Amino acid sequence: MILFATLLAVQAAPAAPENWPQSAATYERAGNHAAAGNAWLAAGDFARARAAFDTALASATLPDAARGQLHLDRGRALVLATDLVAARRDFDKALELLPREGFAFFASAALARRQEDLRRAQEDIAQAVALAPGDPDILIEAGNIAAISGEIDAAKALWLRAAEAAPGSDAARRALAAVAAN
Amino acid sequence: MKTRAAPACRIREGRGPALLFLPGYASDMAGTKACALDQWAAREGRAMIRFDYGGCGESKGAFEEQTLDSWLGDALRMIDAAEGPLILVGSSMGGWLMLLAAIVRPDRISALVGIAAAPDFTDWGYSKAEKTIIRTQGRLEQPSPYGDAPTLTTRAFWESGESAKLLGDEIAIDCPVRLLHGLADAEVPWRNALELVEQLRSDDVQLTLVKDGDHRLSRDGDIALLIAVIESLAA
Repeated sequence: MILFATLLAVQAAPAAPENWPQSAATYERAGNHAAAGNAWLAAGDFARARAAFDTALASATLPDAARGQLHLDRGRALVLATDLVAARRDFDKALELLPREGFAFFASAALARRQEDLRRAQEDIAQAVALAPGDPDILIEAGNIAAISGEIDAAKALWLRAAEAAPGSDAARRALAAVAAN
Repeated sequence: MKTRAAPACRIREGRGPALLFLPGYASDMAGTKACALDQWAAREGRAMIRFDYGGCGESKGAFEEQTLDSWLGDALRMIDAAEGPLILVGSSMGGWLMLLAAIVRPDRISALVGIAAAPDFTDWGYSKAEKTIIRTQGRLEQPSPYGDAPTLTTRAFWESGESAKLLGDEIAIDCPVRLLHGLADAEVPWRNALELVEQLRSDDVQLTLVKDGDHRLSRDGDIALLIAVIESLAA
């Protein structure tokens, strides 16, 4: 569930299906605030998503991996709610707790690129690619960061790798469009 | 994807920690305070870096295409290109950027000096009507108190500011911070400085209020105070 919503949010946000708020409410009643937060994210209600993740994080007994995932999820909610300073705090915490999670480095790199922190973007996307070398979204972002760093050949190679990693997918189409536009 | 041009800058070699001056909105490295500090650095043999944000002063780029994020990126490029610890000196909006930079480069910053620091000014610095104009028309021009040309705020700049607000939550900065603020500041209410003092996580924070000081704090006495504050940090 968490992973699915995580991947959903990376894509251009699809039209929210009618049942996301209902699912979120069901999860909340069941006390599953992490799942509720992701359902609110999918529904496009970032404030409620943040509140659900706040509640989930308030639990004292979470294992590190779950806590790291929640910081990552709340960070994504904060990016979507454009509170980038708070999002940075959550991503840094997530990276501490999930040092082997490529997606966490990817999310951090994408935020750093948005804030024009080029050095951090380069460092974190390199980590993400090392940890998840076949992930097309990570490879596309690596290409984007190479491009704004002025390394167009490297960027094109990364976008082509992304297209080859998932032929025919939406990510492959975006990757090939980036190659064509540069 | 466009590569951003490197900012124009003036680098004065000398003893560290080097001062890195961050100008205010639409201001540049040739401003009164930046030049006065640079002259002091020359006399004292201190390292000092001045630079212009993209679209300002001597730096390339169109002013209309700039955002708070792109200017933060320029500041980070200067920090990353410099060696050793830095003291950031931020004036007005430069004070906001100084805080944002210190959060993401804590290992590089030894102290912060804010002059009428203006974090979150996209929030409190515009009326509801002005925000509506920015949102609906994409831009707002206001008469400038400092020159003939009107001050322009684009929606992209305003939105980037709104996404980088700091007040209202703990600010994760642990280095010494010195703030100067005039009680006669018509741009940034001095009470904002008290909130900033409260929110900074660092325990080593001092605020100096200048009763008849305006927003620019560029009179001889103000500059002398600024230099005294910087000297006290270096000691």
